[in-house]
Amino acid sequence: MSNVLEMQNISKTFPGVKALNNISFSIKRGEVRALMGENGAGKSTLIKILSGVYQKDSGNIIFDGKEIDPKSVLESAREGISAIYQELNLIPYLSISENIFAGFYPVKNGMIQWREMEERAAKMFADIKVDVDINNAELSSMSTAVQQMVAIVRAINMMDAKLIIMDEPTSSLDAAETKSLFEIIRDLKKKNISVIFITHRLDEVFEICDTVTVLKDGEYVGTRNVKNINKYELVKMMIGHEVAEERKMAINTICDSKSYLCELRNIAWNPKLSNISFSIRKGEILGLGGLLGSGRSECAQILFGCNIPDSGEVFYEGNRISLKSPVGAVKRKMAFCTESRRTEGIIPNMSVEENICIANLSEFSNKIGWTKRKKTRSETERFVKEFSIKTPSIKQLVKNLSGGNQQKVLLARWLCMNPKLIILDEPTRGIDVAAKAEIEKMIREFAGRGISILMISSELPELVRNCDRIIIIYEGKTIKELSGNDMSEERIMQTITKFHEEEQEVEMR
Amino acid sequence: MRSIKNLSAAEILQRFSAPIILLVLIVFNALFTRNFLSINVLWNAIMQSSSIMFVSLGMMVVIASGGIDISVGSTLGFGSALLVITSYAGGDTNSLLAVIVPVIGCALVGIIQGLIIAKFKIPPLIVTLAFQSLIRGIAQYCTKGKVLVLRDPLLNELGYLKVGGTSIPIQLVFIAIAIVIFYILTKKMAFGSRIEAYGDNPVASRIVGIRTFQLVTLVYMISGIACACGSILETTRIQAADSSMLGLNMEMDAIAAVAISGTPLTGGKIRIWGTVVGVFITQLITMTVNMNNIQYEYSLLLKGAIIFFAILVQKSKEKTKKGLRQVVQNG
Amino acid sequence: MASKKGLKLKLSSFIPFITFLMLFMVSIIGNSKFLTMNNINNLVRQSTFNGIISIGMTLVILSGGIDLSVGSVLACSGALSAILCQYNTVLAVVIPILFGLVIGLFNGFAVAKLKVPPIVATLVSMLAARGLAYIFLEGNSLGIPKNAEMFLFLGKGKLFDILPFPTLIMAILFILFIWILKFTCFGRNLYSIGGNEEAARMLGIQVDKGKILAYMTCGLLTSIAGILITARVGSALPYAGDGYEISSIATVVLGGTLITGGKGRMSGTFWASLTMAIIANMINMQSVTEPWIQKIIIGAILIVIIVIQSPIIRKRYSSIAKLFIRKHTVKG
Repeated sequence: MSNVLEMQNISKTFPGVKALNNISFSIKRGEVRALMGENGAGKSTLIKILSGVYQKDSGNIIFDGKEIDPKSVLESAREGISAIYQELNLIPYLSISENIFAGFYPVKNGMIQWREMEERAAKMFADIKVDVDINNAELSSMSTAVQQMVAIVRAINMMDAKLIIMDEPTSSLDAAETKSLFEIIRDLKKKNISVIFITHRLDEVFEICDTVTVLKDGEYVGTRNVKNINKYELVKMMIGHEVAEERKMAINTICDSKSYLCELRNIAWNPKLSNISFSIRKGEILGLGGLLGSGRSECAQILFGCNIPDSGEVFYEGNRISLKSPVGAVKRKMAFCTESRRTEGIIPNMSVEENICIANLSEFSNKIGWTKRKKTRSETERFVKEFSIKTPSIKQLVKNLSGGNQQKVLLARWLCMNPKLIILDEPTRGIDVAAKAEIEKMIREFAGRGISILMISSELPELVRNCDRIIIIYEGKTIKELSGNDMSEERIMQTITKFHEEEQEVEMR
Repeated sequence: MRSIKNLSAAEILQRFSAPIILLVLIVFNALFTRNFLSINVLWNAIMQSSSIMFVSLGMMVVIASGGIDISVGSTLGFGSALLVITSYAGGDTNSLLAVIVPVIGCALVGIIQGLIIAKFKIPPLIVTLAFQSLIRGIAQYCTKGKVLVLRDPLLNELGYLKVGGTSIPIQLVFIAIAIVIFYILTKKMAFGSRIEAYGDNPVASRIVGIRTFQLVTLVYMISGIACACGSILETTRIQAADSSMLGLNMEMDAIAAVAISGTPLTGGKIRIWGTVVGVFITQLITMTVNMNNIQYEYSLLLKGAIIFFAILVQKSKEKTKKGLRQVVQNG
Repeated sequence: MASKKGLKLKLSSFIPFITFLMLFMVSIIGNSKFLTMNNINNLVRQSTFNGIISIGMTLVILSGGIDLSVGSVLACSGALSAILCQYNTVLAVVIPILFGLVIGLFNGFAVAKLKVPPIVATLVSMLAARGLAYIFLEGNSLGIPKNAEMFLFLGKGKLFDILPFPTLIMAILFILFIWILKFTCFGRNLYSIGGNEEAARMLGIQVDKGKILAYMTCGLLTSIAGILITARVGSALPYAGDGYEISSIATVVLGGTLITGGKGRMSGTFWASLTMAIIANMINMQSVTEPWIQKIIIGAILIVIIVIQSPIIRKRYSSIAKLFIRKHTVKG
């Protein structure tokens, strides 16, 4: 059997969202397969099903010739599937050799054989050619690169892995470390171990992978041999549409304001951002476009005070500001709808009313802090009506609402404090089509009222539809600004690939 | 067979477990304890529960914010010591000073703990555990381990003051005031909402601009001040400061009361009436044990069991709701 | 490429020993009576019972938990041994040990299987055990009958006329558990469980079993300490062990074990228990035994060590919380 893995008609649905729809593909032994797709495409769900975190709703997984349905990570590991995540599943305070052998200690007469353990670990690491102390230093003191290697070594040697899934392994590695990692992967190929390599970096796909599978919106787009495809086609597979969408736009969102609300100048923040500069005009909708992991969310976080930049300046309403926390941002009437609305956005066990009013409590209370219940109630009801938030009552706990309604609650929360700037990070992710349209309409209305919007989205059509200008970010740098008729999906994709190729050329010289 | 309100028996038990337990205790005592239903016994009970009421309300606020404070018993002893020592100092405005000093002292204790927790991000359990020992030691040091008698006539009178011409003890008034103040603070003021939000989702709270550092410090300060008030009431009632024994294990009672109330021990919604019921339940347990000549130690057993079961009930409630949810991560 | 073996041990593992040594020197210099036989005896005796308990506490804290019930279990075991030694010395040892194991089983089960936070579970058993101690002793102290010589030897006996029996037990236990933590799977698994519980599960380590065994061992050791202290003092007191939980936690933390678990050495706990004894000794030297000074110092030490440990703990969580680090855990 030359195929180590066969996925047959795998589907997975979560409440309200179909994450995977009839995905089928296969991987040969010793093949390095890139798995690509934007946020919401289904990559993460797919590998979580493979590694036993989720269970598929339907379909078959044939691994190493037999059908499997792992119910836990341990089970899938025992079958021979090892997943290496960003939050590595390693024990921070143990040494490298112990991390490799944890759970599989060599024992004789009831005693752990340390010498044998250390010798075997040394041998395993010898192939890797990295000079680290594998016996006396804590793993947490080592770089991410080394930690990943330990995870890989453990997977091959202790778990007898036949398929290793690597989720964005190079995101914290420098060039030299990436090179070492690729050496290891080539070694894996020689040992007939297959690799699923999740990345957003195009050059890596073409350098180390044999084939690439693209998912989009939970659907299988296709698998290609990297020799038979070029970068533009690949990008198009991921984010493009067959038919270029018309730019549907409400007339009142064309912003001709000349005044600027805020500006980021030469912002650098290790490790994600190296040179970010853009500005937002009053009343405009500015989009941040780019591939996954390019650093767009990090820009927003710096603007909002969640992180402090290493260098560069932030200007707001003409003044230089340096925020130490979101408190300052909120005071200046900035709003932020984060990417993960369920963990960082909603306050799950509080009611719709409380969630909506929480950002503006000082407005809803008088001087001594007494909450004006009548006002909170009337304001909440106003928003529920205006935004068509579907809830049995304003006292309903927010965790019981659907994703779309939760997002509306969050938008209502920020609108409540009359913001000058609203930062939206993937505002319509995981939301059904109808609610999506409603929310986009709401966003355009806000801009019409003079509120500036910074929209981060991996959905190009969404950006093109709604934004006045789009800034394209590539690997932590702002590379281009598009506006007017220049804004189209094609242009965005072209810009990204062109810049990418230019980078490559520079490197080769 | 469904009940009138369309809830199954198990659900009724879950939601109303606290008042049910209270009712059971009252009935039990009415039947089996002699003199239980006499008015003097009632007044005595009120007088004795005034300090734990304050402490439990303070604990409720801390737990709702996602923390815990097991130094409250020691802080109570500390406040008591400060009160009596100040009263010895002599002078005209002395009685007033003797009441102010404990408040400041205990507030400071709370503030320092809050600062350490907020600044160094250390688990509150450990910090307050250390302070439990530290503050008890300081309290004992202040009184040199002895029991100091309160000699101030004004303060002594306070302990036995009655309302108007009736036999209602003044402590009832103070309990009522405490409940009203905490009710206003937690349910009518923005502050309460911020605590609940922080306890439920600290990350989101920070994003919406809540000053979380100040909030944490403030919450422990409130606990400290609550202990101070409790210590004043307790000291004026027993008219002595016993720095070694006062408040010993009181943190257990307070945690039990909050656990019963339905306030999530991991932080979230403040249930003030539940806490009041919880305090009454723990006090009733103590009373049941005292008045029926059962050993004090059984009360400890009972209280421990109650905390334990309250936790289990909370966890089972969480589990039934969790099964309906699944987090949609980015795909 | 090859591992650097040999004498290059991490500096941090020496700190508990150096702390002890420093305090030892200070005591010798500052106190002329320090090196007398009498004083050394006192010192050793004081460290014994806290030391035994701290062994168990080290295991529990390493696994990521905490045990507040040790003081009460000490008292209760002592009570049981006092009652039973009127009948049979063997029972007077076996039954309290079984009791300690049962309490440990309860604690471990509640934490591992019922997912009750360790503070709550051990708080409950603390109350329960304290209550039982009072009930068993009917509120009074109970003396050991003078003719129970075998039993009394456990506490007062001296081997070769100088080594007190309890201290011998402590030494044996320390050596045993230093070995267990280094060379057995049970011991090493505790580090994985405390270091990254999820990862431990993924590796096939039986996390629940490990935690339960840790708590049971702690209960066992505490009950042993309870028997020994009752034999030493000659009577069982219902309020015995008061404050022992804080002392043992402070000892474990002082010995270099991280309060959140996953890192620490039993040898560190050993030196720390001696250090705590020296501190107690230093205090006693100054004045009549004042229990509160000890409380103050232990509390202060605990705070200082925790604050020093905090950056290490924060680093552990920095990768998980993108925007804001909050680990307001109620210990579990």
